[in-house]
Amino acid sequence: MKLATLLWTVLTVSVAISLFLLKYEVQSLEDEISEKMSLAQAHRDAIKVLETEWVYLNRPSRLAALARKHLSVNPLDHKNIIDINDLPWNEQITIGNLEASSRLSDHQTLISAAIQSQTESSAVDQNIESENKP
Amino acid sequence: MIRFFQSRRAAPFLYPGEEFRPSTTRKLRLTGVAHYALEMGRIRLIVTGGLFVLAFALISARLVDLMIIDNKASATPSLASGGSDFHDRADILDRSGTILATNLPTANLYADSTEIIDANSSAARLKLVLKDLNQASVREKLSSGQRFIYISRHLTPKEQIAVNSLGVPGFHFEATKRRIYPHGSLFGHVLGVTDTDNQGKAGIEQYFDHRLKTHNHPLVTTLDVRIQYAVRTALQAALGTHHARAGAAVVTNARNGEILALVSLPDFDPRDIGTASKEARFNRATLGLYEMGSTFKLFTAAMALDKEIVNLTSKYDATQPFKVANYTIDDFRGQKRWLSIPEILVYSSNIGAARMGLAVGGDVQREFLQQLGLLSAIDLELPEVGWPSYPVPWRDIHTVTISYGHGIAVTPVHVAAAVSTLVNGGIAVNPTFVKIPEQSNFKEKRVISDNTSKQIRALMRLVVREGSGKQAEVPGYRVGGKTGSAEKISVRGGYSENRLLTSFVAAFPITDPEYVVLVVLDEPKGTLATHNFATAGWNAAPTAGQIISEIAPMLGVFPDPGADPSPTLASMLDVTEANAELITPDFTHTFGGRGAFE
Repeated sequence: MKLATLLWTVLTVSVAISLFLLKYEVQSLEDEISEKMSLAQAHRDAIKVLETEWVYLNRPSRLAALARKHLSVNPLDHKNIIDINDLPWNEQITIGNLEASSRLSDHQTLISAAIQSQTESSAVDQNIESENKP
Repeated sequence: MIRFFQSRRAAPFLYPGEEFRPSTTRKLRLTGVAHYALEMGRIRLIVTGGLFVLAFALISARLVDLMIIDNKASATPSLASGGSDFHDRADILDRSGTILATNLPTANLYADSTEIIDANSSAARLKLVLKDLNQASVREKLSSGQRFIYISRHLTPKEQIAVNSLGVPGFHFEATKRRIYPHGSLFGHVLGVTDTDNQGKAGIEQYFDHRLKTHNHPLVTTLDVRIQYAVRTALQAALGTHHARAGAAVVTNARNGEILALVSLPDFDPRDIGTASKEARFNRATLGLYEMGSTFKLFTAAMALDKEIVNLTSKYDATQPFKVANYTIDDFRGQKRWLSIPEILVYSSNIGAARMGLAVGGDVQREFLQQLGLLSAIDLELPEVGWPSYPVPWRDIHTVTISYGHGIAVTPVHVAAAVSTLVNGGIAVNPTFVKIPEQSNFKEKRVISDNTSKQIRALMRLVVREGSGKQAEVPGYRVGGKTGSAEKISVRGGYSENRLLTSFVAAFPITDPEYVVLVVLDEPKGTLATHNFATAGWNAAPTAGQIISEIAPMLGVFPDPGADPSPTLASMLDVTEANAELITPDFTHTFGGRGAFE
């Protein structure tokens, strides 16, 4: 009988202590989770702000203005797009380029060459000019 | 107490319960009064024990309920304090995922004026970081004695930090969200606006209000930022060059009606909707009703060809003005001779179109325009859609004027959709801002035959190659189109000759059209560069050409350097039974490069 009482007492006390500890652990975990969640929310908000800022900075009107200011590239014009067969064949066309362009399409490979207006006199451009003025 | 213990000690030792449940070793039998008393005690014990069991059962049930079944009560506070963005209005994206509308966290700055130490210096210091503030009114608010008073709304994070680092007591922030349109006025008319309570008040924001508020995932539209920008820039430039009052432009996919760009100028920045003029807030592309003029000759020709009232070699008398009822229909710079169907379109002959329309008949014409969707409001995902106005009853004189686009007013989007139907092989197209699901139970509705569609394409190509639409030509892209220059109804009644509404509807590549571009200019003026002409061929057509040359490479449509397979006017007029093939050559797109869009 004495043993049973002792056993029950020990059990009761240990359950009480562990419940007490558990309660505190749960409390600290809850604090932690709300902290983590508000951190996650802060990050989500930050990502949203950055994403929006990225879109804002990449808006076409701004890019167009920057391109005009800093680059000598013009909008892609029909003159800038030619069939690969119309290119003057020479050694400068490396194997790498050919492989890259052959991936586009098997039978009719295009390369869009952004040919600058300064190179009007080149053979390529003359070729295109003659194509477009039948 | 002691006596109680003593009396128990005096009694023979019994284990608990042994009084009424004798152990096997000792048999005790009670009878009579003693038995009755024992039974009574036993029942009382059971009742008391039962009550305790019940009470504990209730407590355990509640515990189980709290901990396992209904654990929201404890979870909610932590979720709320962490913040959930479920109730945010959903984003709106373009076809490639670029944000068109989103929400940004902002902060409202409020003050507890009882905490303010020195209203004067606090207001002055706040003015240093928030330049737009009115210092005097802030000072007044700070000395008002109120515990909660808004100073400024929707501060950016930078401003918030700046205010915080002032270290002035009494200022507090209230977290909030603000609807942001990073592209400003670019999509003003399409997206519309939301009010301060986050309710959609115009455009897509209003049409999809419920959807945007209830589903958190973004709404993906068919719009394209780059195309929209190119179209708006070109239209804006045209408005400047030709001194037009207003303009509208639409780019649609000719096959499924997806709208890639929709511009109406003047427009507004959703942020400044409060100060935008009525003119700027009016969406001309979807709500504006216009008599489109000669563009309608395409519909007349398609109808006559499809009903086999005429073929391409049929001729109509355009030698002199055509009189019907009390009206006289004449041509602008007429040819004064018999004209074939291709010539009627190329020279844009009102007389020819009128005679053709009359030959088909009013009932058939109305039915045909109905099928093209030109007699009912367009089923578009915008609240701002215009209901066409057309004559009731539909008399012969109306048949005649509608044949060349007068006496019926439709929106620009109507025309873009109807022309898409004509050029895509004859399948009805319904314009839309949202992607049509691949496996939708969409039922094809044929309006004209494939063959008629081919003929219309050839005719449209002819207009650009040799007719009024020459300035829309973009070498290599095979543009087809039709001009329209309608005289606007003047305030005094009747039409005014010098106030035009010009339009150009184009499809490219015309051999197998993928996209339809429509440009409408309201009251363009003739300039030195246009030799004082204000008709569509001199303003709307070159604008459409400019748009096509810019957007085609973005859309993955590549120029075809080969010879143009479409028939010329000469070859069309030279048609005999033997070479009838020439009318409808089997166009095949010989240069089939497709870019990343496919």
